[in-house]
Amino acid sequence: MSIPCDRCQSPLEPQDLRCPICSQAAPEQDHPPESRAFAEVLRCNDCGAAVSYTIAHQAPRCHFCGSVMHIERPEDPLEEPQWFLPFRIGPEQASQLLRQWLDAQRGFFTPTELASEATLSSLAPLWWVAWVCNANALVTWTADSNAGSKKAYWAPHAGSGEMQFRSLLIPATRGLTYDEASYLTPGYDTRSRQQAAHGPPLTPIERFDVQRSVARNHVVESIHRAAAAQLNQTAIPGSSKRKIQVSALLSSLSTDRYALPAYVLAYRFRGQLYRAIVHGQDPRYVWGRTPRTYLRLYIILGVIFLVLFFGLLSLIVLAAL
Amino acid sequence: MPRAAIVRHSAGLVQAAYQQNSALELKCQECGALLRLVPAQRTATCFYCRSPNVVESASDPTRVRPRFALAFVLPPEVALERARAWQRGLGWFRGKEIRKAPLGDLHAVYTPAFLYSAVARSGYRVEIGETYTTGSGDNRRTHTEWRPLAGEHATFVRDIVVSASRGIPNLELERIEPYDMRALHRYTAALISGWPAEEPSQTPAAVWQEARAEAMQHVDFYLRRFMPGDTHRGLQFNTQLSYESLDLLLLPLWVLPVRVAPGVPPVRLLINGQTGRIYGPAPLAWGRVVLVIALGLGVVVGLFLLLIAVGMLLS
Repeated sequence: MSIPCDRCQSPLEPQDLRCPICSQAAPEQDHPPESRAFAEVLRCNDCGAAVSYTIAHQAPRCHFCGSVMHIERPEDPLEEPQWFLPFRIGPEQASQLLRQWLDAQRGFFTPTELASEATLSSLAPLWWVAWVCNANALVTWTADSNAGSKKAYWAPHAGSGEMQFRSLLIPATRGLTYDEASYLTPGYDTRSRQQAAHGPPLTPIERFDVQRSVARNHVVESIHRAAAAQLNQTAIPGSSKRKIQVSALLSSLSTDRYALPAYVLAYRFRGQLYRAIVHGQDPRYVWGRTPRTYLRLYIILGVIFLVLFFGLLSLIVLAAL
Repeated sequence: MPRAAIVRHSAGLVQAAYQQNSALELKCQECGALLRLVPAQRTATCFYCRSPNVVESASDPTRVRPRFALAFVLPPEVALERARAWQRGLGWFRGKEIRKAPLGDLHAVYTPAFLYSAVARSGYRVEIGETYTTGSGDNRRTHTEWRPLAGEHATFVRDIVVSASRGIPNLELERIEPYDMRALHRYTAALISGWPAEEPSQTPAAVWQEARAEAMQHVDFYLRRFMPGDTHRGLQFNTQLSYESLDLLLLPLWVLPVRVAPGVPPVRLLINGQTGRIYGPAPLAWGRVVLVIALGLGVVVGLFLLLIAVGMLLS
């Protein structure tokens, strides 16, 4: 059962000594003032001898029987997912979605035979991990923009306002790239969360490979980045901006740890392997690398070169005549 | 794994004359001998049986119980080696006396300090400089256009450590900071058992003043980083600190005196018991400083006279 911080109202974990957001000391049981002074001796539970703290063991150690005693340490465990979003797309549908996606790739540099020649090499479901945050923030900011500029191209601007972040999803994965995770993120329905993992059998669950203290710093930095992006879109005037500085006073920051479903696929095209990601819940989100062909570019460049060559030749001939 | 067991014996109290300047006498909980503590001590080792005793005294209700503690990490051998390296690294201007002086006994102490944090909300006015260029080629010039800017800034200020010991002034403590607050422990007698620990001796008013002054330095730093533009000048700000908290913390410290000469107060080295950062106010050898200045002046005057002589010869 978490209790809120007195200063910023962010929930504190039972093991927190201080609020990870504002550093306010976590409440502790009041020690009633002693009516009289007294001496106390720390005794070994095994042999009863007096013990003292030793640097080598970073803990009290009995010099008689060698027992090392526990002292309370700030717990900083590796994070574990609390919530799982269920797979709504099966492996077969994921394979079809990849096929449709390949068929839809019509870029200038994309080979026309991609959909017909590509073969699925592997398909693996997985749960990748992310934090989902809710927070309120008093955001103060400064920036340079071209709005209101005079002689110099840039003019300074400043502002402040309350911002709310609801269900802000912050990727914590190392298995997916930042671009892949950011692309998939809007498609997840966090209301469908469950406490147990429901999906294809033996689906691996990625671990949060950061400790709680690091995770919280990462979350706070991500909220600052999200605030800067939002300000860039809404509050800062002008069409050209630079040096956006944000200071956010966060309050009521709550963080949930989610495992999010996706498929990682590999397809082979002309001997090369390419990677693709299919969303585990929303069929609209498929992300991947496509092979590139430069044949068309070479043809166009060749045509331009020939036109220029013959044009120049014609001019020379005309000038000679 | 055995757990720590704190056995309290309030019946062992012999006399609690715990006034400002009087010593406290308690009975050792191991052998029954008398422990004599000055008011600034939180721990005592029995003279007869070497048992570590931790004193829980609250006869003075204004004394604050520590909330956090950082444990010793740096072993004494390493602390001594750091002190020797400090001595070797002293420059020629410090004189050979201190570089060759014998190191005194190394002492460990848990020194009291306060950990301050607050919400800082500031209103500021500043002039922002935006640079632009005119002309081209050799006539290209860079100018700065100054634009006024006013706004607000809000942040948490945290991890400000202020000495609570009159023996260790805050300025000296700052020289061996930072301490790594990620290793913070909730205070327990187990951490300081067997190690000397000092009680806070600074007045609360002085601590608050120091903490707020340091918080304002942090705000000044944050604001300077916060400013847009290519440069800025004339930054003025007005900061309100709210939700302030001050928690007593025990910091591990190695203290070592270096006696330069008989009759001269020793130089006190402070070594961070966690990181090994060291500070000692090594005095300057003024004789050497004066000698170098005199030599420099002599060379300048000599060159000047030489130039005059050459000029006269040539003319």
